[in-house]
Amino acid sequence: MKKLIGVGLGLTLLLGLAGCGKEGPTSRVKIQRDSCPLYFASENLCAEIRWVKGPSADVKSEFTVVFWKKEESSSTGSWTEPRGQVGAFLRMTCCGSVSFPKVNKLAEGKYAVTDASFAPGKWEVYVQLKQGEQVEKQFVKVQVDD
Amino acid sequence: MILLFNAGSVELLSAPCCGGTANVPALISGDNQSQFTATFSSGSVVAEAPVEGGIKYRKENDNETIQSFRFDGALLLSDRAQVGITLPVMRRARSRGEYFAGSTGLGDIAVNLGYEVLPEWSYSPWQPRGVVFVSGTIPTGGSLYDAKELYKVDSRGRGLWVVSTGALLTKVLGNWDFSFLVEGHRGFSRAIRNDLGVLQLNPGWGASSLLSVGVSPAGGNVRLGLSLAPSFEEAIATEGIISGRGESVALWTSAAQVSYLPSNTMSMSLIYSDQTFIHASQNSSLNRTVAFLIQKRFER
Repeated sequence: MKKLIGVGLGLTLLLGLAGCGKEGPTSRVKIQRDSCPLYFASENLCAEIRWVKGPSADVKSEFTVVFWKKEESSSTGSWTEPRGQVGAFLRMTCCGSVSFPKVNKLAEGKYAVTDASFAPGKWEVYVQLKQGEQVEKQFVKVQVDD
Repeated sequence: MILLFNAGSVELLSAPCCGGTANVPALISGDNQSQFTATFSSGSVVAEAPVEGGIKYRKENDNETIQSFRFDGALLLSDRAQVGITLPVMRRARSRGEYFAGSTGLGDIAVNLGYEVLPEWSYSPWQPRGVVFVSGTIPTGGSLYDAKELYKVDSRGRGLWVVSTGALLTKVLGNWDFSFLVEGHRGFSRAIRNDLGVLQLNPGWGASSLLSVGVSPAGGNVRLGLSLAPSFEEAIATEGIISGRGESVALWTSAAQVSYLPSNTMSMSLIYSDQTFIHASQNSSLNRTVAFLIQKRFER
């Protein structure tokens, strides 16, 4: 009896370990769709920053920003061009200094941000949508190592 | 002794780019019709003073240097009124491991008017000589907001028009000399326009001071001097693209100098200044600098 209980517990543990971290296709898609790193309520869009170079104090850093419709797509799915003008700027958390990198459109819903100049420390990287007087901005926090 | 004191007592190095002790104007504090000063300096940024205080020294492979040439000229307009100008040219360079950036250019130009409110027409054992001044800084050096180069090495100024006013008091007692300078200043707001909108920079008040003491051993033509210069700058508030407020800056600069007077109208000084000596600075880079100064005076 003890052996049976032991084998049963072992099998349960093995099955549990084997399934650890795996999800069905439906739940995976759902998780991605729910992931909305930067949410722009005015256009119901999500956005994500992807670092191409950096963030570093020793090079001009670069990243791309992609936009997609919340609940309808994902960062890897089809991207959506925002109605508002896309902009980006950097703010050093400690001291409030602001700098403006260059922003260029790469494709529908995808923008390249280049010439981003950091110093070591904590930063906020802002992405902005501007349509007339309506401005919405979201940011991600970045730690640039010394 | 008075000539020797005039040679170097109020000379203090300017901070590398952004405030610090940069508000010391070109002033005649002695019996001269005009004076012209050339200052060559070479310094290193050795540490940072974080917002929360203390000192954080830079890593060994992080080398930032500042070389500058500064010309100061001052001229009497009347018995008691004077005008002066400061023209700095700076080179900033920084290397971190394999990465390097450098830039040379004009710093912020300053012009000033002075008036001798406390002349020393007769000897007084206690009354100092006093000059009040008003100074304007022209943002020709660019600032952190304008810089394009890596490490922002092309930032050589505050990026704002600044008006300053203050007073310089000097006193010679035997072989000893003392000077005290205090000034307050205010920057003018500035708008930066781009595709994102308008970023309005609203600077606050600032103040700096300089206290120096010198001695000429045996009344000879050599002067030894020490000085201390605290400065304070209120945070810049931003509106528009991003609303917020930065952090204020406090900087303490200590300096020691040796001056030599080869003739009655010429002097030379060697100055060492250190911003790590007093651990009270905040939100600023900290430098150690050596400067050589040569001054030519034309008597009244």
